[in-house]
Amino acid sequence: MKELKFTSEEMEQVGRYLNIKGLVFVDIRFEILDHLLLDIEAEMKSKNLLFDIAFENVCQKWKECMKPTDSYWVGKGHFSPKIVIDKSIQVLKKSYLKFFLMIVFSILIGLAVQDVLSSFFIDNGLIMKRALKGFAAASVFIGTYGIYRLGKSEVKTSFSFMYSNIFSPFILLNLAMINNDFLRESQGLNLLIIIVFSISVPSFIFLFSLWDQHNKQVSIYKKQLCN
Amino acid sequence: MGNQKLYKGSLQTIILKLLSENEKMYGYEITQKVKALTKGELKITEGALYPALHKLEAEGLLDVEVAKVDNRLRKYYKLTESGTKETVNRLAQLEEFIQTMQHLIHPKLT
Repeated sequence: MKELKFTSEEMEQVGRYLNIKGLVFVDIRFEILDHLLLDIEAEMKSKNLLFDIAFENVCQKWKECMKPTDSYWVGKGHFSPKIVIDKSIQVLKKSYLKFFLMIVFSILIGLAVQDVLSSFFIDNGLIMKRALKGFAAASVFIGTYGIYRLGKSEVKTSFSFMYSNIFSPFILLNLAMINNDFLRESQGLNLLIIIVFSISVPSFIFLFSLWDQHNKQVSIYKKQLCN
Repeated sequence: MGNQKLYKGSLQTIILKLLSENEKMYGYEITQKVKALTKGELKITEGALYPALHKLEAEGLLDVEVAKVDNRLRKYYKLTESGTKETVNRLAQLEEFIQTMQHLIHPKLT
Protein backbone atom coordinates (compact mmCIF):
# COMPACT_ATOMS: atom_id res chain seq x y z
CA MET A 1 0.00 0.00 0.00
CA LYS A 2 1.47 3.35 -1.02
CA GLU A 3 1.83 5.67 1.96
CA LEU A 4 0.18 9.08 2.00
CA LYS A 5 2.31 12.14 2.55
CA PHE A 6 1.05 14.11 5.51
CA THR A 7 1.52 17.87 5.60
CA SER A 8 3.65 19.33 8.38
CA GLU A 9 0.48 20.91 9.90
CA GLU A 10 -1.20 17.51 10.05
CA MET A 11 1.84 15.94 11.68
CA GLU A 12 2.03 18.81 14.15
CA GLN A 13 -1.65 18.28 14.98
CA VAL A 14 -0.96 14.64 15.89
CA GLY A 15 2.13 15.75 17.84
CA ARG A 16 0.02 18.26 19.80
CA TYR A 17 -2.46 15.49 20.64
CA LEU A 18 0.41 13.43 22.10
CA ASN A 19 1.64 16.46 24.07
CA ILE A 20 -1.81 17.01 25.56
CA LYS A 21 -1.96 13.35 26.55
CA GLY A 22 1.50 13.67 28.17
CA LEU A 23 3.19 11.22 25.82
CA VAL A 24 6.52 13.06 25.75
CA PHE A 25 8.88 10.12 26.29
CA VAL A 26 10.85 9.59 23.07
CA ASP A 27 11.21 5.81 23.39
CA ILE A 28 7.40 5.48 23.23
CA ARG A 29 6.29 8.71 21.58
CA PHE A 30 7.87 8.20 18.16
CA GLU A 31 6.58 4.66 17.68
CA ILE A 32 3.08 5.73 18.71
CA LEU A 33 3.22 8.80 16.46
CA ASP A 34 4.18 6.54 13.55
CA HIS A 35 1.40 4.06 14.40
CA LEU A 36 -1.20 6.86 14.72
CA LEU A 37 -0.24 8.30 11.31
CA LEU A 38 -0.43 4.85 9.69
CA ASP A 39 -3.84 4.31 11.32
CA ILE A 40 -5.07 7.70 10.08
CA GLU A 41 -3.79 6.91 6.60
CA ALA A 42 -5.59 3.54 6.55
CA GLU A 43 -8.79 5.20 7.81
CA MET A 44 -8.58 7.92 5.12
CA LYS A 45 -8.02 5.38 2.35
CA SER A 46 -10.49 2.70 3.36
CA LYS A 47 -13.37 5.03 4.22
CA ASN A 48 -12.42 7.91 1.93
CA LEU A 49 -12.34 10.37 4.83
CA LEU A 50 -10.74 13.76 5.32
CA PHE A 51 -7.75 13.96 7.68
CA ASP A 52 -9.66 15.63 10.55
CA ILE A 53 -12.40 13.00 10.65
CA ALA A 54 -9.96 10.10 10.29
CA PHE A 55 -7.83 11.61 13.09
CA GLU A 56 -10.91 11.89 15.32
CA ASN A 57 -11.77 8.22 14.71
CA VAL A 58 -8.21 7.11 15.44
CA CYS A 59 -8.15 9.14 18.68
CA GLN A 60 -11.26 7.25 19.81
CA LYS A 61 -9.51 3.96 19.06
CA TRP A 62 -6.45 4.96 21.12
CA LYS A 63 -8.46 6.48 23.98
CA GLU A 64 -7.84 3.58 26.37
CA CYS A 65 -4.03 3.55 25.80
CA MET A 66 -3.82 7.30 26.41
CA LYS A 67 -5.90 7.32 29.60
CA PRO A 68 -4.00 8.93 32.54
CA THR A 69 -3.06 6.08 34.86
CA ASP A 70 -0.96 5.49 37.96
CA SER A 71 0.24 2.35 39.68
CA TYR A 72 1.75 1.18 42.95
CA TRP A 73 4.63 -0.32 40.94
CA VAL A 74 5.59 3.07 39.51
CA GLY A 75 4.51 5.24 42.43
CA LYS A 76 0.95 6.16 43.34
CA GLY A 77 0.04 9.67 42.18
CA HIS A 78 2.56 9.73 39.31
CA PHE A 79 0.11 9.82 36.41
CA SER A 80 1.06 9.14 32.80
CA PRO A 81 -0.68 7.62 29.75
CA LYS A 82 -1.53 3.94 30.33
CA ILE A 83 0.91 2.85 27.63
CA VAL A 84 3.80 4.50 29.57
CA ILE A 85 2.70 3.02 32.89
CA ASP A 86 2.40 -0.44 31.32
CA LYS A 87 5.96 -0.22 29.98
CA SER A 88 7.28 1.10 33.30
CA ILE A 89 5.64 -1.80 35.15
CA GLN A 90 7.29 -4.31 32.78
CA VAL A 91 10.72 -2.76 33.39
CA LEU A 92 10.31 -2.16 37.13
CA LYS A 93 8.88 -5.59 37.97
CA LYS A 94 12.08 -7.17 36.66
CA SER A 95 14.30 -4.56 38.36
CA TYR A 96 12.48 -4.88 41.72
CA LEU A 97 13.08 -8.62 41.69
CA LYS A 98 16.82 -8.10 41.05
CA PHE A 99 16.86 -5.36 43.72
CA PHE A 100 15.20 -7.64 46.27
CA LEU A 101 17.59 -10.52 45.53
CA MET A 102 20.58 -8.18 45.84
CA ILE A 103 19.35 -7.01 49.26
CA VAL A 104 18.87 -10.58 50.51
CA PHE A 105 22.29 -11.59 49.14
CA SER A 106 24.01 -8.55 50.74
CA ILE A 107 22.37 -9.22 54.12
CA LEU A 108 23.49 -12.86 54.00
CA ILE A 109 27.07 -11.85 53.16
CA GLY A 110 26.97 -9.20 55.90
CA LEU A 111 25.82 -11.78 58.45
CA ALA A 112 28.49 -14.24 57.30
CA VAL A 113 31.32 -11.74 57.83
CA GLN A 114 29.76 -10.00 60.86
CA ASP A 115 31.95 -11.71 63.45
CA VAL A 116 35.14 -11.29 61.44
CA LEU A 117 34.58 -7.59 60.73
CA SER A 118 33.06 -6.65 64.09
CA SER A 119 36.36 -6.15 65.89
CA PHE A 120 37.64 -4.15 62.89
CA PHE A 121 34.57 -1.90 63.16
CA ILE A 122 35.16 -1.43 66.91
CA ASP A 123 38.86 -0.59 66.36
CA ASN A 124 38.11 1.79 63.50
CA GLY A 125 34.67 3.01 64.63
CA LEU A 126 35.06 6.64 63.66
CA ILE A 127 36.59 5.90 60.24
CA MET A 128 33.85 3.37 59.40
CA LYS A 129 31.14 5.77 60.55
CA ARG A 130 32.53 8.47 58.27
CA ALA A 131 32.94 6.03 55.38
CA LEU A 132 29.31 4.84 55.58
CA LYS A 133 27.94 8.34 55.95
CA GLY A 134 30.24 9.50 53.16
CA PHE A 135 28.77 6.84 50.88
CA ALA A 136 25.24 8.02 51.73
CA ALA A 137 26.22 11.68 51.12
CA ALA A 138 27.82 10.78 47.78
CA SER A 139 24.66 8.85 46.80
CA VAL A 140 22.50 11.88 47.63
CA PHE A 141 24.80 14.15 45.62
CA ILE A 142 24.98 11.85 42.56
CA GLY A 143 21.22 11.09 42.68
CA THR A 144 20.35 14.78 42.94
CA TYR A 145 22.75 15.68 40.13
CA GLY A 146 21.00 13.02 38.00
CA ILE A 147 17.54 14.47 38.66
CA TYR A 148 18.86 17.98 37.94
CA ARG A 149 20.29 16.83 34.59
CA LEU A 150 17.08 15.03 33.68
CA GLY A 151 15.03 18.08 34.61
CA LYS A 152 17.15 20.32 32.38
CA SER A 153 17.18 17.87 29.46
CA GLU A 154 14.63 18.43 26.71
CA VAL A 155 14.63 14.72 25.86
CA LYS A 156 12.55 12.59 28.23
CA THR A 157 12.31 8.82 28.19
CA SER A 158 10.18 6.35 30.12
CA PHE A 159 13.38 5.60 32.08
CA SER A 160 13.75 9.24 33.16
CA PHE A 161 10.10 9.05 34.27
CA MET A 162 10.91 5.96 36.37
CA TYR A 163 14.08 7.62 37.75
CA SER A 164 12.06 10.65 38.91
CA ASN A 165 9.54 8.42 40.66
CA ILE A 166 12.14 6.29 42.43
CA PHE A 167 14.25 9.34 43.38
CA SER A 168 12.26 10.45 46.48
CA PRO A 169 12.44 7.16 48.45
CA PHE A 170 16.11 6.82 47.43
CA ILE A 171 16.99 10.26 48.83
CA LEU A 172 14.97 9.70 52.00
CA LEU A 173 16.82 6.44 52.67
CA ASN A 174 20.23 8.06 52.25
CA LEU A 175 19.30 11.13 54.30
CA ALA A 176 18.18 8.78 57.07
CA MET A 177 21.59 7.12 56.84
CA ILE A 178 23.36 10.45 57.20
CA ASN A 179 21.24 11.72 60.09
CA ASN A 180 20.83 8.58 62.17
CA ASP A 181 23.54 7.63 64.56
CA PHE A 182 23.17 3.95 63.74
CA LEU A 183 26.86 3.13 64.15
CA ARG A 184 27.77 2.79 67.79
CA GLU A 185 31.49 2.36 68.13
CA SER A 186 31.14 -0.17 70.95
CA GLN A 187 28.72 -2.44 69.03
CA GLY A 188 30.93 -3.16 66.03
CA LEU A 189 29.19 -4.31 62.86
CA ASN A 190 25.59 -4.52 64.09
CA LEU A 191 22.55 -5.87 62.23
CA LEU A 192 21.16 -2.37 61.58
CA ILE A 193 24.30 -1.34 59.67
CA ILE A 194 24.15 -4.55 57.62
CA ILE A 195 20.49 -3.98 56.72
CA VAL A 196 20.82 -0.26 55.96
CA PHE A 197 23.92 -0.79 53.83
CA SER A 198 22.37 -3.82 52.09
CA ILE A 199 19.48 -1.61 50.95
CA SER A 200 21.54 1.48 50.19
CA VAL A 201 24.06 -0.07 47.75
CA PRO A 202 21.51 -1.98 45.60
CA SER A 203 19.22 1.08 45.50
CA PHE A 204 22.12 3.13 44.15
CA ILE A 205 22.80 0.46 41.48
CA PHE A 206 19.05 0.37 40.68
CA LEU A 207 18.88 4.14 40.19
CA PHE A 208 22.08 4.15 38.14
CA SER A 209 20.73 1.42 35.82
CA LEU A 210 17.67 3.61 35.06
CA TRP A 211 19.99 6.54 34.32
CA ASP A 212 22.08 4.33 32.05
CA GLN A 213 19.02 3.01 30.17
CA HIS A 214 17.77 6.59 29.74
CA ASN A 215 21.07 7.65 28.17
CA LYS A 216 21.08 4.63 25.84
CA GLN A 217 17.57 5.50 24.60
CA VAL A 218 18.51 9.16 24.15
CA SER A 219 21.56 8.24 22.05
CA ILE A 220 19.45 5.94 19.80
CA TYR A 221 16.96 8.73 19.03
CA LYS A 222 19.41 11.64 18.92
CA LYS A 223 21.41 9.86 16.23
CA GLN A 224 18.32 9.72 14.01
CA LEU A 225 17.02 13.19 14.87
CA CYS A 226 20.35 14.74 13.96
CA ASN A 227 20.39 13.05 10.52
CA MET B 1 -14.59 -13.09 14.68
CA GLY B 2 -13.28 -15.68 17.16
CA ASN B 3 -12.88 -15.20 20.87
CA GLN B 4 -9.95 -12.78 21.24
CA LYS B 5 -9.41 -13.88 24.86
CA LEU B 6 -8.30 -17.30 23.65
CA TYR B 7 -5.45 -15.73 21.68
CA LYS B 8 -4.32 -13.42 24.49
CA GLY B 9 -1.97 -15.88 26.17
CA SER B 10 -0.23 -16.60 22.86
CA LEU B 11 0.37 -13.01 21.78
CA GLN B 12 4.06 -12.93 22.74
CA THR B 13 4.69 -16.20 20.92
CA ILE B 14 2.90 -14.87 17.83
CA ILE B 15 5.13 -11.76 17.86
CA LEU B 16 8.29 -13.85 18.32
CA LYS B 17 7.26 -16.18 15.47
CA LEU B 18 6.62 -13.23 13.11
CA LEU B 19 9.97 -11.69 13.97
CA SER B 20 11.74 -14.99 13.40
CA GLU B 21 10.38 -14.96 9.84
CA ASN B 22 11.07 -11.28 9.19
CA GLU B 23 14.35 -9.63 9.99
CA LYS B 24 12.70 -6.62 11.65
CA MET B 25 9.17 -5.29 12.03
CA TYR B 26 7.43 -2.22 13.45
CA GLY B 27 4.28 -2.18 15.61
CA TYR B 28 1.71 -1.31 12.94
CA GLU B 29 3.27 -3.83 10.54
CA ILE B 30 2.84 -6.61 13.13
CA THR B 31 -0.88 -5.84 13.57
CA GLN B 32 -1.43 -5.83 9.80
CA LYS B 33 0.54 -9.02 9.24
CA VAL B 34 -1.45 -10.87 11.91
CA LYS B 35 -4.71 -9.55 10.46
CA ALA B 36 -3.70 -10.68 6.95
CA LEU B 37 -2.43 -14.12 8.01
CA THR B 38 -5.58 -14.88 9.99
CA LYS B 39 -7.85 -13.33 7.34
CA GLY B 40 -9.11 -10.79 9.86
CA GLU B 41 -9.91 -13.42 12.50
CA LEU B 42 -7.34 -12.04 14.94
CA LYS B 43 -6.99 -8.31 15.41
CA ILE B 44 -4.25 -7.24 17.80
CA THR B 45 -5.21 -4.05 19.61
CA GLU B 46 -2.67 -1.36 20.46
CA GLY B 47 -3.45 -1.86 24.14
CA ALA B 48 -2.25 -5.47 23.89
CA LEU B 49 0.53 -5.11 21.30
CA TYR B 50 2.76 -2.50 22.94
CA PRO B 51 2.81 -3.96 26.48
CA ALA B 52 3.75 -7.31 24.88
CA LEU B 53 6.52 -5.74 22.77
CA HIS B 54 7.84 -3.73 25.73
CA LYS B 55 7.81 -6.82 27.95
CA LEU B 56 9.80 -8.82 25.39
CA GLU B 57 12.21 -5.89 25.05
CA ALA B 58 12.63 -5.63 28.86
CA GLU B 59 13.33 -9.37 28.99
CA GLY B 60 16.14 -8.90 26.47
CA LEU B 61 14.40 -11.01 23.79
CA LEU B 62 13.98 -8.06 21.41
CA ASP B 63 16.33 -5.38 20.27
CA VAL B 64 15.26 -2.05 18.75
CA GLU B 65 16.43 -0.06 15.78
CA VAL B 66 15.20 3.40 14.80
CA ALA B 67 15.10 4.69 11.23
CA LYS B 68 13.81 7.84 9.59
CA VAL B 69 10.90 7.10 7.24
CA ASP B 70 8.78 9.78 5.54
CA ASN B 71 10.09 12.54 7.78
CA ARG B 72 9.28 10.67 10.99
CA LEU B 73 10.97 8.07 13.15
CA ARG B 74 10.02 4.42 12.93
CA LYS B 75 10.94 1.93 15.65
CA TYR B 76 11.76 -1.56 14.42
CA TYR B 77 11.92 -4.64 16.62
CA LYS B 78 14.18 -7.60 15.92
CA LEU B 79 15.06 -10.77 17.76
CA THR B 80 18.17 -10.93 19.92
CA GLU B 81 20.20 -14.13 20.14
CA SER B 82 18.33 -15.20 23.30
CA GLY B 83 15.08 -14.15 21.59
CA THR B 84 15.77 -16.58 18.75
CA LYS B 85 16.32 -19.43 21.24
CA GLU B 86 13.25 -18.45 23.25
CA THR B 87 11.10 -18.46 20.08
CA VAL B 88 11.93 -22.13 19.52
CA ASN B 89 11.00 -22.97 23.14
CA ARG B 90 7.76 -21.02 23.11
CA LEU B 91 6.65 -22.45 19.76
CA ALA B 92 7.27 -25.95 21.09
CA GLN B 93 5.21 -25.11 24.19
CA LEU B 94 2.41 -23.70 22.02
CA GLU B 95 2.36 -26.79 19.80
CA GLU B 96 2.21 -29.01 22.87
CA PHE B 97 -0.68 -26.92 24.18
CA ILE B 98 -2.55 -27.20 20.86
CA GLN B 99 -2.06 -30.98 20.86
CA THR B 100 -3.32 -31.26 24.44
CA MET B 101 -6.39 -29.22 23.53
CA GLN B 102 -6.96 -31.47 20.50
CA HIS B 103 -6.90 -34.52 22.78
CA LEU B 104 -9.40 -32.86 25.09
CA ILE B 105 -11.76 -31.73 22.38
CA HIS B 106 -11.52 -34.82 20.17
CA PRO B 107 -10.67 -37.70 22.52
CA LYS B 108 -9.80 -40.95 20.76
CA LEU B 109 -11.76 -43.67 22.49
CA THR B 110 -9.83 -46.92 22.78
